[in-house]
Amino acid sequence: MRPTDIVRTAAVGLRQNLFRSLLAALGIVIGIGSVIVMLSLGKGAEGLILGQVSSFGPNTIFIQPGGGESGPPRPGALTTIKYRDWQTIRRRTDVLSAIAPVSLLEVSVTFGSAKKTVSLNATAPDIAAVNNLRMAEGGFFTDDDLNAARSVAVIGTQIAKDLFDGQNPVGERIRLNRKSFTVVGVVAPQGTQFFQNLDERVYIPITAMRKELSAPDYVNFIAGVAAIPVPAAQEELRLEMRDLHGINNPTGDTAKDDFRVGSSVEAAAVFGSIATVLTLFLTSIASVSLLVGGIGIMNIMLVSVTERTREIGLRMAVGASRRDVLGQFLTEAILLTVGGGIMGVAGGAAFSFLAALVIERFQSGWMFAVPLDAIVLAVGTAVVAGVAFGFYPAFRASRLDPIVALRFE
Amino acid sequence: MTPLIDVHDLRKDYVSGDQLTPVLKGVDLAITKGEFVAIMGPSGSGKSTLMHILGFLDTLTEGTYHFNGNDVSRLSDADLARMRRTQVGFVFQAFFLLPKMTVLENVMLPLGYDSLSAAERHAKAVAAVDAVGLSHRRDYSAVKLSGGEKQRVAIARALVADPQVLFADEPTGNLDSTSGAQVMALLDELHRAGRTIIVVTHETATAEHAERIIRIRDGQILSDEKVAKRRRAADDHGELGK
Repeated sequence: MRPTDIVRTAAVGLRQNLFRSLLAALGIVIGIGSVIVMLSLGKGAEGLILGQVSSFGPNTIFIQPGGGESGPPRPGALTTIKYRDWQTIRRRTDVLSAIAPVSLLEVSVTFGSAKKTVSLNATAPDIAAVNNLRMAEGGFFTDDDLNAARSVAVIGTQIAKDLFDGQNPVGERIRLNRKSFTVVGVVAPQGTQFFQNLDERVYIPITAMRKELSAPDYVNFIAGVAAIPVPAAQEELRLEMRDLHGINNPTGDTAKDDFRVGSSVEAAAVFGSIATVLTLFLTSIASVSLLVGGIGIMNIMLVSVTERTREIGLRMAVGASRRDVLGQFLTEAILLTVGGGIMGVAGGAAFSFLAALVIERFQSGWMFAVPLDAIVLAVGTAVVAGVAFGFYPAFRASRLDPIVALRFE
Repeated sequence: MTPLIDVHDLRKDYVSGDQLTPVLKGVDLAITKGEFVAIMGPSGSGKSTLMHILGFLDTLTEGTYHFNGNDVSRLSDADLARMRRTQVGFVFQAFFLLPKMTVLENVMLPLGYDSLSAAERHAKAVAAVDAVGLSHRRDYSAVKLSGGEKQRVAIARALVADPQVLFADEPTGNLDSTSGAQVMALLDELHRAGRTIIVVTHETATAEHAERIIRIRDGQILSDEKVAKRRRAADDHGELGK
């Protein structure tokens, strides 16, 4: 029997009971569809994380409060990075090409009658290099502004839009917690990063914050760009910080430190591994529905073989060998699962596309993607499921005695 | 001349649990090419089993079976399937057409297990449908046909691969007498054209179309006689006219 004839015969068999064939395939459609959705969302999350790493730049280094390598810092350890630490470290231009402290403060910003609560980043001009900031209007504040503690501010596009309503904000005066600041620049749109809207930030010189708003002795973190290979820069900064904090730690046990020197690559790796674990976990749950779908196929095929006993007997009487019959029913099962798999890929891709549209509204940089290897995997799985769940019914069909089959009522 | 079918001391036992039931108890039979033979007997006599063995649907327990001079007593499943595909055709009492297929598709069914091209298959199936006088029904769904038409389609299907022997198992059993007469007329015609035909029946009127009647009882041949005055299609119609 020719391969094309086997497929044609199987297709005719399925067509004889089209509605049932579609119902049987539905389990596979849902199973493959959910696997595709999970893999697609996983791919989207991975792309997002990689995108955020590249928005920081791979050489970005953070000095954060708390010791150890990971996990949240100890309570009460959030204030261990001091303002004066930055004043010393900023001179280490042999290690860092850009360095900026960041003090965070929730403030209300007003212009005229318009008012908004925003996240204030009190920092240094180098933050523009660390965060890859591009300007839409005006320029970033300068070292001169920093040293003179001038009341100047750089605002995000969302604030510009909300407070100024299309008017150019550069040169206008806004109030931050009732203190007057002059807008010198507007940052080009950045979107969302780790679920924060970056376009709702206000940047001011850290010196101006301490003069006008509040002057804690600590900063939230220090960010910089490594001038030498990242691990070497991290080690240099650890030594410097231990020196500054009087920590005796010759073995380099980070648990003894009250600070942590991390890099954007490390952060991305942590997020990436979380995303991978989640993807694997959700995909394995989705695979269970694939198993259920496969059992459904087997059930339907067994019913079909019983119902078509006389057809099988007749086919044998006109010359079909046992292998032909086995091939016919196995091919029917594979056509069902592969057809279901293709529909599942299409449905899963469509669902992922819609999901991406929704996610994009909350988290910019989310890309819709259905990885090619996921499609190959899905269709491959469908073929395997067809063989695995179709073999037993097909084998039963092929073992029928033609005489008994023809007498079957 | 070598007989087309030559069986010697054919025995067939069925095993059910630990019980052995002999169905055929030593049958000797030779049928030459072109013969029209009827096998008669009451139900349970073994006539159907004999036909199944002769038609490669079943295997014998003891004895020998030569087909066209070749020993076919002990063939594998795959070889039996090949013999059924190339050497014999079956017509059954219950027609066994596939209901969701057209007449032509039903007739084409046996050719699907061969390696012919689609065009060759189509041509052969069309010729077979024409030969049984159903050209006008080619694309009809098989369920829409009358009983007599269905049996003619079944005959076309049995002949499409041009087999040596046509087996007919109670071919008129499910038909009214008019349709039955038409089917028997068709078999007469095929016989005149040189086809070897073996009919299994318990109806004398059907059996009398054959040249030779073999009567079976309890797994043995009771009699094997030439038919003195063969029944023709005209006789069937004459009887209907009475």
